Amino acid sequence: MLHRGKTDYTQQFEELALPYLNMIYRTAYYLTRTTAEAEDLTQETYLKAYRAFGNLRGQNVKAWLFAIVRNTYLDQYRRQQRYPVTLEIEALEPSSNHRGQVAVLWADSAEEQLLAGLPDEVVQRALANLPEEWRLIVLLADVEDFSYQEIADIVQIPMGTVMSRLHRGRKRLYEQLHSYAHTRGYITEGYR
Amino acid sequence: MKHPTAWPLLDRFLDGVLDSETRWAVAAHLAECPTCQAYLAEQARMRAFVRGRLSRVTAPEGLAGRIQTRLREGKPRQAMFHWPRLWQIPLVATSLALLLLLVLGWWLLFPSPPSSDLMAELATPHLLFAQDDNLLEIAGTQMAIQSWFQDKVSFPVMIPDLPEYTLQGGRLVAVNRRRAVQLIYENERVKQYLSLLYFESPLLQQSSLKPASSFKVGQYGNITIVSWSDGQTSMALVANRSADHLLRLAEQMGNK
Repeated sequence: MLHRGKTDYTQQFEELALPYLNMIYRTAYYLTRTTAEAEDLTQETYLKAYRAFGNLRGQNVKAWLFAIVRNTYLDQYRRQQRYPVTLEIEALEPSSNHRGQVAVLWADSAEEQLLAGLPDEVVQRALANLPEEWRLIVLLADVEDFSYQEIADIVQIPMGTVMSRLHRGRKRLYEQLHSYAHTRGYITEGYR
Repeated sequence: MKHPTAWPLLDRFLDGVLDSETRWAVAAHLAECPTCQAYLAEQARMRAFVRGRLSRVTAPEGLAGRIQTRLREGKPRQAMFHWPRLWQIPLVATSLALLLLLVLGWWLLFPSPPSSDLMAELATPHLLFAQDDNLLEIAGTQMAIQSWFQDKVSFPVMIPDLPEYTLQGGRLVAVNRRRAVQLIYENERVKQYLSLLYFESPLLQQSSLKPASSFKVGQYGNITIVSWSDGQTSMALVANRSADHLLRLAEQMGNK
């Protein structure tokens, strides 16, 4: 990667890295769970990436950035516990009706409409309530379109562990959403 | 493939990470198992729902500018590239030659995935989503659908009129692990569905060929796939119809 002078270096970095700003911020938000910490983490990520940009050699820029945001979070934020533990939506445990059944959450259009009526914040906090090791993987797979292998490289775990955590994370997330909708009267029947 | 074997593979089937042989076997099982079909449809709906909601979190206004300001205040710690000195040139030339050999060797040892995998990837969204209106992510006029896809994919999406078919809507899918577009049409006279896919595929993009000579026809079970490229984007018509029927539609699309 050629860059002459600081201006070119900065320009090249911005052209490659800034298009991923929304994705990086989103990941920072779901890791830290507050907007202030998310902005802070995002800025730190870009600064670190900028300093390391000269060492980037044909790597996947998107995956590289995500590895930096995750590592920066682990190094600086999780240790300091600068995020709140409790959130507005409680992490509901799945009820006994849900265990062992095929998870058909909406078998008809009425239920689908009711779940679709859930506010964005409820869905976002349901993800934020997942255990950290599941939360990031669900986000990387289902929102940011990373492959299993890319996730394994970013999070530095075996691919089999990615699949296992992804399955459990999705299951818990969907159960939370259904439980929330059910207990707050969005759905009046248990699922079939 | 029996149900106990297929069941744990469904998530990976939906994620598009199974090898082609296993994918075939799971798809064959799906055709006969309403329980697995229901689970798969449910998972697809929930993922689309969750994805849509979670992706609405975006960076606050001005954050890009604040980051750019901080970058300009700091200096890169890593050394920038410098042109090689005279005595370094043979070393650099040798390194480049070795790199070229390495790339060539890699390309020879690990060629592009076989086209049978691509046929399976193109057929899968049709099998999963074409026949259920509840799985559409966008429905409405051609203009509304085209506008919806505009900021979601990096390639142009045209919404053609297909004779005898009515546009039902569309959704985002994955092909080659990249975002792709699926438009779903219905032929009410024969009660058949057809998918038109837009995707990026280096296997198909050949910029200098005329459309009529670049159609590829494939089969995935009883699903026919006709695919082609206009140099920028690849397209495919997918349906349980004859190859001749799909080729006629593809040629009509190419002539417009």
